[in-house]
Amino acid sequence: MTPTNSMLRIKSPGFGLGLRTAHYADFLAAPQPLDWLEIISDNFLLEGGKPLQMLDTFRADYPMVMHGVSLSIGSTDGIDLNYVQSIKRLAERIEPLWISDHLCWTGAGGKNSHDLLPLPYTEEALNLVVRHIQQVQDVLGRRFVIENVSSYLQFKSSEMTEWEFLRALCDAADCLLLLDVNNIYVSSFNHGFDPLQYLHHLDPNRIQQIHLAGHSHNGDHIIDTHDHAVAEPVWALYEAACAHAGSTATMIERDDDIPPLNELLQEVARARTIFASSACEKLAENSL
Amino acid sequence: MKLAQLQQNFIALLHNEANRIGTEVVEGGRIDVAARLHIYHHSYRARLLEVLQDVFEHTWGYLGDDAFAEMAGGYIEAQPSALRTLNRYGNGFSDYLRLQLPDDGEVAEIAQLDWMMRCAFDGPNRTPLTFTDLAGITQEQWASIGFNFHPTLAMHTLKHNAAGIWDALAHNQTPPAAAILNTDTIVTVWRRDLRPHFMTIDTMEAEAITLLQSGMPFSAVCDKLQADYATINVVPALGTAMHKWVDNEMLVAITDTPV
Repeated sequence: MTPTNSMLRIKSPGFGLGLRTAHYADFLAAPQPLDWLEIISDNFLLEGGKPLQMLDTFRADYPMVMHGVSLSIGSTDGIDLNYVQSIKRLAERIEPLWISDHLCWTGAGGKNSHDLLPLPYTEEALNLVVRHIQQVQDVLGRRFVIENVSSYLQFKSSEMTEWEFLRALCDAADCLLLLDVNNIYVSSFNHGFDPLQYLHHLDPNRIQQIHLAGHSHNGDHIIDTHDHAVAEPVWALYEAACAHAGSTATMIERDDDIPPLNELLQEVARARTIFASSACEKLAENSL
Repeated sequence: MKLAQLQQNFIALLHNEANRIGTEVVEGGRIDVAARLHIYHHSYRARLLEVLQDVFEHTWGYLGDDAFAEMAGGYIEAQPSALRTLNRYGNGFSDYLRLQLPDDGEVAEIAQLDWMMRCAFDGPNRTPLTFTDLAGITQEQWASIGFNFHPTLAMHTLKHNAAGIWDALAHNQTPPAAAILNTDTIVTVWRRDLRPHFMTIDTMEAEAITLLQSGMPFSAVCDKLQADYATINVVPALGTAMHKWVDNEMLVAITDTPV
């Protein structure tokens, strides 16, 4: 059965965290107040050993989602179907709620940057990414979830805004969106656009997940480093995202200078509180 | 500009080949185009350096921050990544160090140990053979059977005391001064109980492992080594080695090659 528009998203499992080795001992020691965990898929595309054993252990206790960094969906080199098959095998192992990667390209001409490089927002790029997402969805047998990236430059050749591109992409490829609220904020600062305009243009029914992360503010530009706590302006934007998208799976993403788990759990708790107050506010508005 | 050309130009900039991408970037804002491009240029190198620091942790500790960064930086420029994922980018770093530091051969050997330990860490799983498995082998079967080692098992010949240096660094101890060994040492690395291990082995044992890995039956290995090592009673020596291999979970399968 083809889902109707209102059934596009999988029901939110609540609030989660990116699983990192620094916190393995905490997860082994006691249940943590988290509804689900996100793994970096690429860290587990292995043949065996401890990483996969730990993954199985944690999967027994928490629902998981898979988040990749190497698909390179926007590369003119095309989709590496062997890589997609390896993602599928991992998915068969852990049965994730959904699978995501980034709206970017990471390499071309056989050379890899291992970075999330920006695309020009053109019809040519849109058609290419739509085709690639459809290929990926055909292999995985499920809707794919695509994340907006932070960027530090824009191309003159762009024919539309990033948010127009994202909306058109989700509609044309029938995929879902991982909304990185920090990335919107970072790019809005670096390029001088209104983050709320970006947010409000997106179809809330397509927003499957939200990322919250920290960044490094260098005065005249911001780098998406994931090595700080979530910044105040990003929390404010998250509140707006809650109002726009309603109940959406939200998690804290920390990749560097990783603090004790408790610090991140406090951020997760803050996200819960913001969502709850946002939901209450919406309910109050609706009852007027 | 077509997307394919734009991406080629972007990658060329990252690899210091040419800057044909700058004219494609929107000008204005708080920072100029050069600064925007520099963020990506720097990020590529920083990410690869971080990967090398992670995999070659003990080499990094031995060389120190500055010397390691210099060597890693040279490798990054010489070796553009063509891999989909980063975990095997360091394949080749040991060889690079051997060429760059010919008078400090222990550095490449420490790096080789780092690399082998990492490869063993996340290599394939196999269930090890037990002494019960060996006890079930009949006298007749010994004539034709061979053995498979754990797929993570690898060997490397050291000319320096790199194993001692690596071990000291792994235990946060002051490493011994680098020295050339009187005779080459063979080190074998494999995974046991989810952890990589290494130990030094003698030449005959290394040859036995190599021959068994090539598919030669155990009895033929005994015959060949007895011919090569006339002064050693090979069968009991290999019996001792076999006991060690099983005890250390290095063997994973009995193969049968009908004679």
